[in-house]
Amino acid sequence: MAVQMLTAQRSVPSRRVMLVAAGALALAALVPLSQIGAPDYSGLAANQVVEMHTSRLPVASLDELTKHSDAVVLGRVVASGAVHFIQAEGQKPAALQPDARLAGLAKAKDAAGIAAAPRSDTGILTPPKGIPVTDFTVQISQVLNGSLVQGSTITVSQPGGQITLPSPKGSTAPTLVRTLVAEHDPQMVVGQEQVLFLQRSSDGTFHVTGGPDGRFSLDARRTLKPTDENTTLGASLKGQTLARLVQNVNSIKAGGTAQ
Amino acid sequence: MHVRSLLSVRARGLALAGMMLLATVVAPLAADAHFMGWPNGKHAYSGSGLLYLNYSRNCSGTFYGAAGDAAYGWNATPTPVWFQEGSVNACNGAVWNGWIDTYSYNNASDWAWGWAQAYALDTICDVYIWPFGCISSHQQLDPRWDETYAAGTIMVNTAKATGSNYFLLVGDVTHEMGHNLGLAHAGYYNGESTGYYSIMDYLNWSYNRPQQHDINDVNALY
Repeated sequence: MAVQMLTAQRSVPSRRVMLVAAGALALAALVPLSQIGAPDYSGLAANQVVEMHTSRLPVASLDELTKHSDAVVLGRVVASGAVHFIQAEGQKPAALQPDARLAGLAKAKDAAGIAAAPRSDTGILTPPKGIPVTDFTVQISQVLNGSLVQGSTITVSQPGGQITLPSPKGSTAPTLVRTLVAEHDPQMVVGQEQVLFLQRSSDGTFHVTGGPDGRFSLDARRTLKPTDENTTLGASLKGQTLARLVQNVNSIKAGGTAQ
Repeated sequence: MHVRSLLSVRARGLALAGMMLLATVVAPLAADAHFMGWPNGKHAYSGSGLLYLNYSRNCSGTFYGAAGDAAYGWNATPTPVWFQEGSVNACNGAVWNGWIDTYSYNNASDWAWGWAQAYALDTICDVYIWPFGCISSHQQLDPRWDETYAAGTIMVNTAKATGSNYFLLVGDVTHEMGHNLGLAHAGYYNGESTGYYSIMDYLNWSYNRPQQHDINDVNALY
């Protein structure tokens, strides 16, 4: 009797509702099923650090570094700002002037008759143009030389930065992000305190004199650790105390020489 | 007999040391030390004949002559490398599939003389539905050094070109072209012996042509 009462009270879904529910379940199951065998972009999509390879004439001496700098400070990076790009000159392309010397060489290497292929980027997405540069906000902990003010903040621009590669509308593939970094000149990091030899740019911002040549970390004993230890300058200043550096910089600025 | 034996050991030791030194300086080192992205970081090459690389210099401004000399310098090496000159129709820094383009920029604030970047061509599926597979995809030039190079750019800083340093300008472009071939910086800082022997040594500006070390590296890569 009790069993019969319970059965009578339960509402039985109609056949139509059951069909709709089954259809919905089937569709929901199809969503993950539709991705069976889908390409895995986890590696490609990860923000990869890519070195931009450079050439530079290293700064030869502390004398040269100091004379080319408007200020020398101990500064802490407090923020990483916008990325902008150094653009190509944009001049009118020069007319092609084939190198006459190549004819003989081409014959010797059996390269005669090969012409450069026509250009086409149809259907190919290309990265942003130019050399990325990141603006960092640096708070001055100590003015070692020059007219900057302790405690103030300045903008220091450094080549390198994060770029986003374009992707077509409607794409479900992950957007690719790359962090381009200048070789031998690792990106500044927020919180990092460094000795910076600075040049003032025409727009009032600063950049580091000689790139990696003008940037030094300090170790626990407050001695210099050059960003690029391979150069003559880097090797000569490695391990020098901050006090000694200040003394030398002031001496050079006053027309003397480093001791 | 005893003395002769000692001398022999010494002579063999010296010979071995000499060979090791020679191997370090002249012959290519093991793989990754010399190259940008071993083993895939290079241009596609069939393994025989010349490696034709389309390049342009008609947007390199005051580096125009130097870029031509740099290409000539690489072409003159006993390697498969052949830079084939073409032109680009706008000096805007664009990356073109199948081309290595040289663009000038003028920036006195930039410490670099030149920049090189290679690009791989990724094919990316935008919409994938099983069991039909990828129903929409696109291709993308991706700045990286560790996959087959489909394109390259060389940016040269005309603020560094003073007119009296042509030798350095040629060396600059030759060096950057070396990167675009897949060669990394060479020198003691990269696990090699001391001394100047490579156009890829970033601290050495006494050369402006590829050296034997660089020729060996290119021939090891291609």
